[in-house]
Amino acid sequence: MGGSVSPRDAPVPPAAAFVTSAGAVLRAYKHDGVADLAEQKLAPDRQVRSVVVVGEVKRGKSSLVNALVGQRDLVPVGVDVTSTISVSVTPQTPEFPAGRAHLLFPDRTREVDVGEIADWATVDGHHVRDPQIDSLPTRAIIPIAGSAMGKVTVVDTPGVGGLDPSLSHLVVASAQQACVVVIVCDASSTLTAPEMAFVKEAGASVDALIVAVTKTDKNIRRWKTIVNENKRLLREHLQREVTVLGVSSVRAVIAAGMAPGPAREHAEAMSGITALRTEIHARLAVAEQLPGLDAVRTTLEGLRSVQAQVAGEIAVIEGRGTSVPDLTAELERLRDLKAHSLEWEQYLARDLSMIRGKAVTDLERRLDDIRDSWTTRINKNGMEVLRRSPQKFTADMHSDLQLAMAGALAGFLQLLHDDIVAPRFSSEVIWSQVCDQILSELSDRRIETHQVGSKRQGLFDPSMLTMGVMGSSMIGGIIGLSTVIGVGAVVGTVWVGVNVGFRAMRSGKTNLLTWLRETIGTTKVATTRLLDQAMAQARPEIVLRYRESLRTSIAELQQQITTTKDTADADAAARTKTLTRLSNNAAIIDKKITEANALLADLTAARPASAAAPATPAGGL
Amino acid sequence: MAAPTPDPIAGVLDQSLHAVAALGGTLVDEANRIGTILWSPPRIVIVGRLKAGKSTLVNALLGAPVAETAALEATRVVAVYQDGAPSRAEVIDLTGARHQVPMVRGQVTELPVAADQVAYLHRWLPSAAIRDLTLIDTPGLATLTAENEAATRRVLIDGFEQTRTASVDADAAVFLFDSTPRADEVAFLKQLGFTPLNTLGVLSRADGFGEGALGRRDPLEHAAAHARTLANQLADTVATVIPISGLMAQTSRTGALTEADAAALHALARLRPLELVELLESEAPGPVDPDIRGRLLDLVGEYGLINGRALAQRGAATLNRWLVDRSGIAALQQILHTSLTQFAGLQRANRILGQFDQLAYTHPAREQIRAIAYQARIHPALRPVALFTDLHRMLDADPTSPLIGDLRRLLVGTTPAARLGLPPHAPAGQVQATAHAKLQAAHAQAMSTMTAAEDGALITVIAAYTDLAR
Repeated sequence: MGGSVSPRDAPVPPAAAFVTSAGAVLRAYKHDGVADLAEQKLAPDRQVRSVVVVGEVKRGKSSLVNALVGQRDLVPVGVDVTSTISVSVTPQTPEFPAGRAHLLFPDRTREVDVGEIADWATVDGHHVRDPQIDSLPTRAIIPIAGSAMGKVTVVDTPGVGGLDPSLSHLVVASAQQACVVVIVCDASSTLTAPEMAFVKEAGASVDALIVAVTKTDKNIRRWKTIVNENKRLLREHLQREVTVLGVSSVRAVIAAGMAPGPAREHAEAMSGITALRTEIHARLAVAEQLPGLDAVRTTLEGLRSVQAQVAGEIAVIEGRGTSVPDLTAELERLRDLKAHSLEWEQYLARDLSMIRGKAVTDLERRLDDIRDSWTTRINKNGMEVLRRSPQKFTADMHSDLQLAMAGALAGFLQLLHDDIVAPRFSSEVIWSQVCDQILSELSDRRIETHQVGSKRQGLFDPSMLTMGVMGSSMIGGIIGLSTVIGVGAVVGTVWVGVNVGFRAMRSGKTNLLTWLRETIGTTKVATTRLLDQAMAQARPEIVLRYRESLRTSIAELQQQITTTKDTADADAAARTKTLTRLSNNAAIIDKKITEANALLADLTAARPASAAAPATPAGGL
Repeated sequence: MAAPTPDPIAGVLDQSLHAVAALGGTLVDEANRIGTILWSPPRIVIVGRLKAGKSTLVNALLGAPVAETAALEATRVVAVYQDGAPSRAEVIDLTGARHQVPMVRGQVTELPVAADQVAYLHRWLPSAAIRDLTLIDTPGLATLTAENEAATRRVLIDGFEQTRTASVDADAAVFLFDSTPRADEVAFLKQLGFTPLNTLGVLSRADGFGEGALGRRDPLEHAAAHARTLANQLADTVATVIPISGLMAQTSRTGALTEADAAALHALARLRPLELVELLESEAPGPVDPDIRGRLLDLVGEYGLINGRALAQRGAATLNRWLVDRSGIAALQQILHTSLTQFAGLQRANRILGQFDQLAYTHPAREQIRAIAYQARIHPALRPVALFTDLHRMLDADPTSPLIGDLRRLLVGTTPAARLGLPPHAPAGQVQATAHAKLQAAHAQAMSTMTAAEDGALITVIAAYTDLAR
């Protein structure tokens, strides 16, 4: 397969072309910060795109994942094989080359051969069955070359425990993340009650959900009827159209093994896998425009400020601008602010401690919810259920805690933006710098809490809680965080490792509940510490930016006063010449602004339409 | 199969019944009622998840498309299939009342009672296949509709407690599943009160096993290998696991295949598998008309179509033989009519002895009835029944006891050597010596038993080893 992933990649997208051309204007006016930010937002790798394959036990999820990426024996499959954890198949990167797989343990990662995954990630896996083992991976990542899904990460979810309703919340489309969920059903019967409930749960995001009816090759006579029947059932229960496609994973992987050419393409098309891939790409394409939209908005903001600047200059030359005394008064005001910056800093400190309080309250609420829901779960299911698949429950608990911590940090950053930075600075650039700084600082940090439950040595693992912020390169392997990624989490996300004691799972219920309480308590302490670090990082960042911006504003004003004085002294010819130059520039800027508005209208108008129809015509040029 | 020899167990029980009847009064009727159980064939219940292929299997076993898989009502109620002429059906409702079921050309089209009021459907048809056993088809477990599961439980579990007339007691079970049975299904099966000796596992849809007909491995061979693994895993639940292709068995056993079908199948012989599947999926014209292609799929399925094409050249009879051979139905029938029926007979004998006990509770002539039942129990011909009953009790009381191994060996073994766990050609001296050793061990164990079940079982085992040590 070549590099072309979707038809969209071929021409330069209008948003990118615009950001480049308008960027030149911004740079000419020394607004490099805005231009850089806009380009960063356009970067192709910034948006994580994934498809998550979910479904009930033994529906052929793993086989479908192999069929989607076009590699027959990648993710372990078989009649005796049931996956216990999520396995992400991602395009290879220099850091993570194809051929090796990565297992994420609570406190470390481990590189293994792709063939070894079955030992770690299936019900009868060699290590999974080993009663002596204290720690099992909670996720696996397989980087591959030449995926038939292009740059899209394909995630296989565990078969243990059946269809997990919470996964329906993964369907999401934002500038940071785009995720499509494929729900795998069997061609021998219509949708089951849990499958229908899952689709309902997805609610408004149902547009990014595709129902794949697999094993069509075993039900040649029935599958088309089943597909139509499923469509009808979904229409009846949801009053909406949901895409239902028939797929034969076996035929798809047989086709993938053929020599490239029309015969292979035909066989792939006939297996139904091509249509499924196209549908997935079309759903992701809807979100593909979001980074462009974001970048265009940033550029527009920069252009508006340049526009105001030029207009000011023109006004001065025309002699109807702000008078020198006015400017001098404004200069005095700024100098006054600078003199009283200590006061400003104290208000900042007050506001910061207020948002810290809010964030901690939010965190406590989230953790209390987890404690309550797990206590209910343990009491309701009983230990038998938990012991049968400790790995799955470990991973579940792990992801719950991770979501809570990521949510708390994202919430904190959102507050920092809304209550602190936005009211104090007009530019989006400042926010992005502050935020990047905080996250890059945190990603080098690692908080480790030793010995949860050390008082009960022997019964409990000397558990360890580790957390930090993970770089974006690994995000592809992490699912479930998309729902909490807010304005802040642009470059990374919180990563938490909880060594959920397998021994705790094996011991009695009371012990597990005690362990849970202690772990939640430790998570609270550790996350609060993380927030304090973020605060400690944010404060000097903001103070420095504030001082910097005061300094530049004062310098700019002084410059403007000089220009005004100079213009008054200049001759008419020179004035006319400057005016012509400025007017020309203003016209260019106005034109760019009009262009930006048109583009925004175009891109936003295309969205609802493309959500309904898979083949969206590329936005007008 | 051996020529019908008079069953010694039935003989003893029949004598006991005569003795009971000789006491006179209502006991004549009671003896006749129990006699009906004794002289009717053992009842084999077919259990499995919905869509596990139970009705298809019933059709294959009966050799007639009677259990209509398409007609919803028939699969939603419990159906009892028994040999008998003329072909007819009755519905037994929850009160025990019987209702005639109208039939159209041998098919049940409509039930005279609402489905939730049906205890079971009783179907008689003249069929040699069910001459020595009665089949009970169930609606299926763990289904979407709670109603279905209630129906299955009512007949199989509550049935024991219900009035004798309405109950459908079973003597053995055939447990159907595809791939691997789920934990809740196995748990349900264990509740039904069978021993592993009279429970047979069937791995259904073997022709679509694993990757199916297009996969790298032949699905039937793959299923056979998997069945062996499952048989080991489920050794405390089922006697063995047999892979079956229900569809291929049904078609070959009901005589649905015609020469025209064979010819049509052969006409597709030159297509490669992927091309064939593409043609089957489409409505496009081809060497064979689309509706004939559909008929072939319905008859022999994907596996039969892909793999039966070359052979079809030799005609319908050859193709049919191939279907029988590949479907696994012969192996199933063999076990069904030998060991499963044999152990079903033991369970039934046990049930009849239970009936004597019940009579002794309710009838004034309890002393005499008890004496008759006791005489029957200690009769040497009924030793297997005693062993079986003890096995049943031990499985309930202490499923890990080594005594269970002794009981199983004694029941399953067909020669003295095998009953002692020795190789088939062990010399007589060794057999005797081993029997002595085991007898002594059992005596020693009898000094320190843990449960009443173990007490009883040891007495039976000691008697059996005493016989062998002679």
